[in-house]
Amino acid sequence: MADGNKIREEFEKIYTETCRRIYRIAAAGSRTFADAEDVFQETYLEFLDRLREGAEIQNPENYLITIVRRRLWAHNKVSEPQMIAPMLEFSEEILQEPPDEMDIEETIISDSLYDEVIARLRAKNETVQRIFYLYYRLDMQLSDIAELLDIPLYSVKNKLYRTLKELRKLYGGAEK
Amino acid sequence: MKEKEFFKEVMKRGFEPDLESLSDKILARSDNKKPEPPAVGRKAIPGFIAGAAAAAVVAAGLLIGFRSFGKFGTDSSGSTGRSAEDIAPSAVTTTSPESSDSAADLPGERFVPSEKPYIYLNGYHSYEYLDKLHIPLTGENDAPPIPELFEFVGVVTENVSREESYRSASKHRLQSNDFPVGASVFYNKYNGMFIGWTQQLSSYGWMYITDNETDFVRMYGKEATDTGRSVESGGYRRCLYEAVRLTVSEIVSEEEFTAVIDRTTLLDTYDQNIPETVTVSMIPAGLNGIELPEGVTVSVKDLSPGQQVWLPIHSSLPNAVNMGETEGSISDHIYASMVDTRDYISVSYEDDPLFRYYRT
Repeated sequence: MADGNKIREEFEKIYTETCRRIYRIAAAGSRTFADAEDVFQETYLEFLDRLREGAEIQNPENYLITIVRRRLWAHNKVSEPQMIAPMLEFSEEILQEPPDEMDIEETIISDSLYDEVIARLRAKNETVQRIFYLYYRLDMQLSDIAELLDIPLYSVKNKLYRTLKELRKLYGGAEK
Repeated sequence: MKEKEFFKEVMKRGFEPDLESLSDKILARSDNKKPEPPAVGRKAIPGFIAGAAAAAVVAAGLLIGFRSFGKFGTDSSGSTGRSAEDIAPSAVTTTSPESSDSAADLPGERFVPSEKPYIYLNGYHSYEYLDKLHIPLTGENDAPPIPELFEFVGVVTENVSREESYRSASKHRLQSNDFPVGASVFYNKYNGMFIGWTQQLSSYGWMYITDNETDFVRMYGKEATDTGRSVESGGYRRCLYEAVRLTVSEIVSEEEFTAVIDRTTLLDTYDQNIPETVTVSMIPAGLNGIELPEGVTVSVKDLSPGQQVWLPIHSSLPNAVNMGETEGSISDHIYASMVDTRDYISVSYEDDPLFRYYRT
């Protein structure tokens, strides 16, 4: 069994180097944010176990990616299956493209604005939150998000744009 | 500030855990974990691996190669001497219908569960669920479209009512409406699950089957061309299982080998993103990070240059290609290349036969 302190140091070093990428994979593949954190923690727990067992891991990041993908698979398999949303009627108005990305005046950006936007988003359902996260935080394409969430692309756009429109009122964005 | 940057920060602040502090939490959790009882022979399979056990079968079977699946459990693999027949489910057996009232007057032979234990199925027996759902299957045979993976069971001749299905589903989470009349039913030899397949699907062309508690497989048969939308614009194109076939080119170490991807069947769309050679890591637990059931070992020693191996992937997960694109680059690691190579086993209801199998 390898030395405990050495393992901790090694773990922390690897963790620091890899945690963001691994979390992104976990977040993209999980159905909820809570699941993402679970999978993320489980991944590193397993990795830590391996280190403590004295496993020689040549490429920690690839190893972690392997674990997180397997965890995601296992995790998603035990969750309730997501049903594909039924084809809904939609209007042309909903499907129209959103206004171009706007600039937000630096002067109005504050912690309270962040808090308010976060609160508004948290009041939305998890799907909306995930769309925002995947789109803005993980830079995923809307079509990929639709596929990932198993909902039609128009539905992703609809949820994103509609919420964006609502949030823009908070920071004074002029709708085009 | 650009709106996108603003929301990126919103997401980071409001919807991401503090990754720095999580490190300490993980260490603490690990310290507090109860020691596991020592496993005999190999490391015990944790309970959460329930589904992964099936994956292990796929992985292991695919790794060694379907043709050499019998190598499992041989002395050379270092296993406990379990034979291939013990591992791979036996051929489907059929019998006369007198054993079941519900199927007594139905045409064809009634399918009965094999008594042979499916040791890698995490305790669930899909045969049994089909039986409980009263889905009589004919004994009509058909050539398995992917003989290495799927075994033809029969064609659904009658199904129960939707209500019955849901009652059953609540108990077993297996929905019999996944097996509409006329659907061909196949048994996945490597994960022990049944799939139903028919061209009479919903407009989405999807179906899924779940097992009793833990497993879940979703299969998509809708190709993008059918939806009138491209894959990029959200058209559906998913498969139940995808596996990329690799040819071992070099044994790098006991834990790694390099492999060449045969790109002859790849679509141009994806070709540019796919490296020609990948390095496949063999981590101690087994192929591709999937822990193998006790008694089964797979190592690079089982491989030799020139040998073809299959690496399975599950397409419902976010694929690494997307992640790579997010970062503006495509990793040359296998995980970033295997998903959309199209050098895979494809399950699609559009084709005749029912499955498409890209062979190089």
